[in-house]
Amino acid sequence: MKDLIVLGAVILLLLTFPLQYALEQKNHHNISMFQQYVNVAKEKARAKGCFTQEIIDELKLNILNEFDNITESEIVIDVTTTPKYRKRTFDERELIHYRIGVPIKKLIATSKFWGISDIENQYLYEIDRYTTSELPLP
Amino acid sequence: MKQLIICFSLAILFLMFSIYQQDNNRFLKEYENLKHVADDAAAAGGLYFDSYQYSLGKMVFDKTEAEKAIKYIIKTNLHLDDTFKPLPNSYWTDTIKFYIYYFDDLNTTFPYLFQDPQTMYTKLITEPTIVVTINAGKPRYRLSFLTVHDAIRSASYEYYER
Repeated sequence: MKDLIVLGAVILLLLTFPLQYALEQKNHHNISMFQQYVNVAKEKARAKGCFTQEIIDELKLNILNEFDNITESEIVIDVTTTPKYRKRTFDERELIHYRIGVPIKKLIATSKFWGISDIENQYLYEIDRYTTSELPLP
Repeated sequence: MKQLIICFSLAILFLMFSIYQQDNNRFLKEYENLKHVADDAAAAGGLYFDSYQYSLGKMVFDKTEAEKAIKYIIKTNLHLDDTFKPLPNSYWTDTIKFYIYYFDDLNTTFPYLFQDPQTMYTKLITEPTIVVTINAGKPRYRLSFLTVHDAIRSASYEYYER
């Protein structure tokens, strides 16, 4: 009986690890896809001179399809929406800025077991960068 | 007692694997970001060319402006200070080194076989091209017994005649 109790406790403790491995890989995959979507949107914005509404809508749709537990309002999109132009000399005012973030809502698989609340068990993954515009000056 | 020792040994082993997995996944994400920064830097540098030479039918990069753009993109996108040392909010810890290679109608006879001395990557260059290679130093791994190498990414921007 004593062995059975010990075995039960050991299984319970060690089971948390494989669950964490699986969750970590899922989050990693989601973030990798998010990086790709942001990069594609950035390349389109470079050609257009800014993030157009069409680019933003497509990006949001891709993110919502990839992340099954977030809403549109939780996606952080703070990007340049007025056209920037390619000039003959470098001008940092003509750079396109993009800060795009998505909440990762489950970091620890067995959070309840360790007494971690849902608020503590999440963070915002963010990409905050600048890129140049290829739109010629009119 | 034996069961307790086995249990703790397994827990430590699993924990080490978990730490490695988290560190490695974080590094892979930052490595991908580094590639995007190298892409952006090369594309930024490629926008600037000598108008006079262009009027003569030659594509020659304006190295002064290109370097300004490349430095700015690398510095801001990797969160570095003016000496290219990482700021506290940067993933990287070592001073960032970068290398810019220009191949244009003034200094190159095309086709030219280029080998990047940092990555040993070989590329046949047939058009005016800027190559940017970034060496971001050692990635962060908490398991000190692991041997880690510098994270290096390279990107190029080419002009194609239409």
